[in-house]
Amino acid sequence: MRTVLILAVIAALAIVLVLFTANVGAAPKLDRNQRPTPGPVPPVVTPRIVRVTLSNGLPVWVVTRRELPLVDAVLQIRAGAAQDGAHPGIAAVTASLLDEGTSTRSSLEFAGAVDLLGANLSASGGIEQTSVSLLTLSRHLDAALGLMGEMVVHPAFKADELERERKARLQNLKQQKDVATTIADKVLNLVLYGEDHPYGHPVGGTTASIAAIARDDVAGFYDRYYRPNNAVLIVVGDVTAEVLAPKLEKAFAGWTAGTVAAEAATAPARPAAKPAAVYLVDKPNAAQSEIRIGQPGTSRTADPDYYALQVLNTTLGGQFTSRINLNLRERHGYTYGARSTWAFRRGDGPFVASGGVFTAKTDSSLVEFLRELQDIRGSRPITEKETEFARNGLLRGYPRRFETPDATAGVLAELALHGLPDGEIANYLAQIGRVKPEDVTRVAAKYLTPDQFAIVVVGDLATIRPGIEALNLGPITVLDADGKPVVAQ
Amino acid sequence: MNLPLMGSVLGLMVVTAAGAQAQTLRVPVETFTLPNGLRVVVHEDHAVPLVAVNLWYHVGSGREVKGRSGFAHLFEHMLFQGSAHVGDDQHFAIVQEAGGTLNGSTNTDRTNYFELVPANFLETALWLESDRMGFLLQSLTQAKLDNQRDVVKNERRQNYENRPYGMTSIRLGELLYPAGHPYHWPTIGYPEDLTAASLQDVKDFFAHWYNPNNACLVVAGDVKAAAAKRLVTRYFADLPAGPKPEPLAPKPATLEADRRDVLEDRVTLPQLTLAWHTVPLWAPDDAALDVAAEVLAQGKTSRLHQRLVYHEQSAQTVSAFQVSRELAGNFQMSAQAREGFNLTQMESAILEEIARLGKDGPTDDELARAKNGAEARSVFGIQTVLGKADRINSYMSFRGRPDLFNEELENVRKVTAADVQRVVRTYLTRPRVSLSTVPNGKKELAAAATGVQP
Repeated sequence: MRTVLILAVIAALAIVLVLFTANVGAAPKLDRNQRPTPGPVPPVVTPRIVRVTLSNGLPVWVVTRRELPLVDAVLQIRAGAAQDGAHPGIAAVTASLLDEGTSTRSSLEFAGAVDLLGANLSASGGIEQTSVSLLTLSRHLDAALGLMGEMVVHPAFKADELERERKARLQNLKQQKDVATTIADKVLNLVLYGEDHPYGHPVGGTTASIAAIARDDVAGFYDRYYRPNNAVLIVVGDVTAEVLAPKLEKAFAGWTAGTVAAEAATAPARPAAKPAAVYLVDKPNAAQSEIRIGQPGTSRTADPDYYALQVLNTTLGGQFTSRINLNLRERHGYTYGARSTWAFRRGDGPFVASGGVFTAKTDSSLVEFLRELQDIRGSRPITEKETEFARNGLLRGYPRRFETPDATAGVLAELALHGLPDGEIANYLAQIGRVKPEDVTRVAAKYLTPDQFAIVVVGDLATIRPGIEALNLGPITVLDADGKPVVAQ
Repeated sequence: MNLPLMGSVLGLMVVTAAGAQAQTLRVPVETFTLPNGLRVVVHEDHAVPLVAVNLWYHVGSGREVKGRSGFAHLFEHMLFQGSAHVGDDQHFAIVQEAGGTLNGSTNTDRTNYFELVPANFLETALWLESDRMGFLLQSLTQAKLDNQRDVVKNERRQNYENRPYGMTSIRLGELLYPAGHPYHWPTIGYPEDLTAASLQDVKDFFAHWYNPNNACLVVAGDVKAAAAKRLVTRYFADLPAGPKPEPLAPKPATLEADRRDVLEDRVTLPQLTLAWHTVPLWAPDDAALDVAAEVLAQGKTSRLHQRLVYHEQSAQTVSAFQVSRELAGNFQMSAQAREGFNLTQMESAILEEIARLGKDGPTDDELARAKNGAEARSVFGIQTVLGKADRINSYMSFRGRPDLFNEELENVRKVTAADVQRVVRTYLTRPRVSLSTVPNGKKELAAAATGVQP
C-alpha cells in the first residue's frame, strides 16, 4: 500500500486497454465452458524517479520502494566490449578486477567484507556498458555503499591479480569449446559482424587477446572510461534521495570527471550486407545440433520501428506460443525449445533465431525455421488476431517489469543507456497499443531478409552435413570452434 | 479472515541478539482446506498488481516404478496440452495473452505448476488450474503423448547428453542410492523408459496422484484473502477427492564402502564429484550442513576456494552443497582440475580441508559470514510473489505449515561452531561416492584411491 503512494499512475493506459467490468453480486452456477471475464484493469504504476547529481558530476536516479528492507543499486558505466578496441576482452577483465583488491584491501579481504554484510556486490562488462551491481539489506547500506565506492574509485589492479584472472579466463575460453550453444553464439556473432567491428568479438575476448593484455592496458581503459561523467547510478529500494545523497558523496569521494572518448557515446556503424551463407562447426557424436539464423537487426536508440518489432517478435519467436516454437516443438517435436530474439543496442544489434534440435532432424528443422522467417514477411502475414494477442500480452505484462527493485533498475538502465526520456515508459504502452498488422508485415519484410541470413549449425557433421547441403541454402564453410576456417584434409 | 490490511508484507521486528540487530521474517497467510482435501494458502501483497498461482502435487520421480522412470516429468508436460473445457494448446495461449508467465517443474519429491498474472486475471488462472486438475483425461490423445515424448527426449539431449558434465548427476544418483531407492534413477528418466510409456500409464498416473487431496494451492499477491477464498472455492470445491496417497516415510540410504567410478565425456577439464549420505530436508542437522558447505567451498572466502582456486591455482571451480530432499539427503562437493593438475590432488585437498574443519571447527568470522548471508538471502528471496508462493508451498507440502520463513532462518542462526564440527565429523567421514568425469580417453586423470581420510 505504501508503495502506491510514491508511484505515479499512468492515465494514458486507459487509451490502449479496454476496461472490463467484473461480475459483481451473487456468483451464478459455474459453467466451465465459459472462460472467466477478467476484472477491471489495475492501474499501471510506474516508478517516480528522483534525480540528484553528486559534486563529482555522477548522476543518481533514485526510486523509493518500501516493501522490503533492501536496496538495489546499479552503477552503469558507458563502456563495454564495444570499446575494447585493440584489446578484445579488456572491458570484461577491467570489470572483473575491480573487486580483486583495492588501495586498502586485498582481494580476499574485500570479499570477506562483502560476505560479512551478506550483500551481493559484483561487476561485469557487457557489450555497451559495464555494470557494478549491489543488493544489500538496508541496515548495511552505509557499509555496502562504502565497498561499492571503494572498488569503483580505488581498484588496485595488482599485477598478480591480473595474472590470476588471466589464467582463469584462458582456461575458461578452452572450456567454452565444450559447449555447443556457446560455440554457436560466438561463431554467429563473428560471421555477422567480422572481428574488427565493435560487436564482432566475444565479450570475454580471445585466447590471443587475453594472453596479451597488460596491466597498463587495464589501467588505461579504467582511466579513460570509468568517470562519473560517463556513468549513471540507479538506486531502487528502501531509501530516499535525500538520505542517500550524503552517503554517496562519501562513498564516491575522490572519483573525478575526465574527458571521455567520443566513441563511447556514438553507435557503431552497420556492417556491410553479405549474401546468405552457411557455416558449420563439427561436434562429433553430438546428440543435438545447435542452430542459429541471424543478421544485423536495428537500433533501440534510433529506430521508431522498435514497437512494431516487439509485436513481430512476440508472434514470431518471442514466447512459447510463437510461430517458431509451436512449429518446431509442439507440432514437430524436433526441439525442447526454439525462439527468436533482437538484441536492441545503440547500433544495429543482431536478430537471431535459435534452437537445439535432434541431430537426425537438423535439415528438417532448418526448413521449418526458414519457413517461419519467410512466411511472416508476407506470404502468411501476421493476422489481426495474432496482432491483438501479442499486443495484449505485451501491455498486460508490462507491470511485471517493476515487480522487484532489480527489475525496476533494469528498466531505468535501459532508458539511461539509450538516452530515452522518462516518458518513454508511458510512450511504450501507447505505441504498442497502436501497432497494426500492416506495420508488423512492413517491418518483417524490411528487417528479415533471407537472402542475407547467416546460418550457423554446430553438430555432428558426419551425420548432418549431407542433409544441409541438399537444402542449397548458400555457400557452406566449415569453421572451428573459434570461427576460423577449417582447411580441408 | 484476520489478515492484517496494512500493506506491509514483511513484519519486521527488531530484536537484540548479542548486540546485533536481527530481523524477524513474517509472511502473513490465511490457510484453509476444502472438503475434498485441497489445502489452500493465501498471502496478500499489494505492492504490484500481480498475482501468483502456485500449485504443488505431492508426487515426483521418487514415486515412479521400475521401467517407467521419467514418468512424473513427462506427465508434467502433458498438463500443458489442454484440458476438457480449456481446449488444445490453449493453456499457454490464455496465460500469455493475459500478460502472464507460467511453467512447471518436477523433482524427486513433487511437481509444481505456476502462473504469474495481472491481478485481474486471477480467476482465469484458477479456471485453468482447476480444469486440468479435474478434467484432463478426456482431452489426452496418443498424438499429444507422442509429441511430448519427443520434446522430453530433446530436453534430455539438451540438458544432459549434449551438455558438458551433463551425465554426471545421473551417474551420481545411481552410485549413491541402491537400485529400488526412489532417488536412484534420474527425474528426466531413461530414454527406453520414456519410449515405453503408454497412454494408459498416463491415465493411471493421473487418477492416482493428481487429486485435490494430494495437492496444495498457494495464491499470493494483489488480492484480498476473502476474494481469493471465494474464487478458489468456486473452481476447486466440486472436484472429487481421489484415493488417499500412501504416506511417505524417510528412506535413509547408506554406503557400506567407498564407491569409485569414472565417466568419460567431451570435456576439456576433469571434474571430481564427491557425495556422502546425510540427512533429509528439515532434519536437525540440515542447517549445520548448509553452513559447513559454505565454509568449505561457497564463495571466494571459503577454505577450498582460497586454497585451490586462489593460492594453488590448481582448480578452475570448487563447490559444496547439502542436497536436502524429502526422503533422504546428501552432501556434494565438486572440483574441476586445471590443465597440469589431476583429480587425485583435488580429492586429497578436499579431504584434508574436511578433516581440518572437523578438527578445529569454523572460525567466528566464517560463522558470522554464513549467518549474515543466510539472513540476507532470506529477504532477497521474497522479492517476487512467485518466489514467496513457491516457498510457502514447500513449507506446506513437506511440513504442513505455511509460514516457516523465520524458522528456516532461525535454524541457521542457531548453528554453533561445535555443530559444524560435529556434522562434518559425523557425515563427511562416512563412506562416499567418488566420481571422476574425465575427457574422453584420459582415464589417467581420474582420482585414484589414496590413504587420505577425513
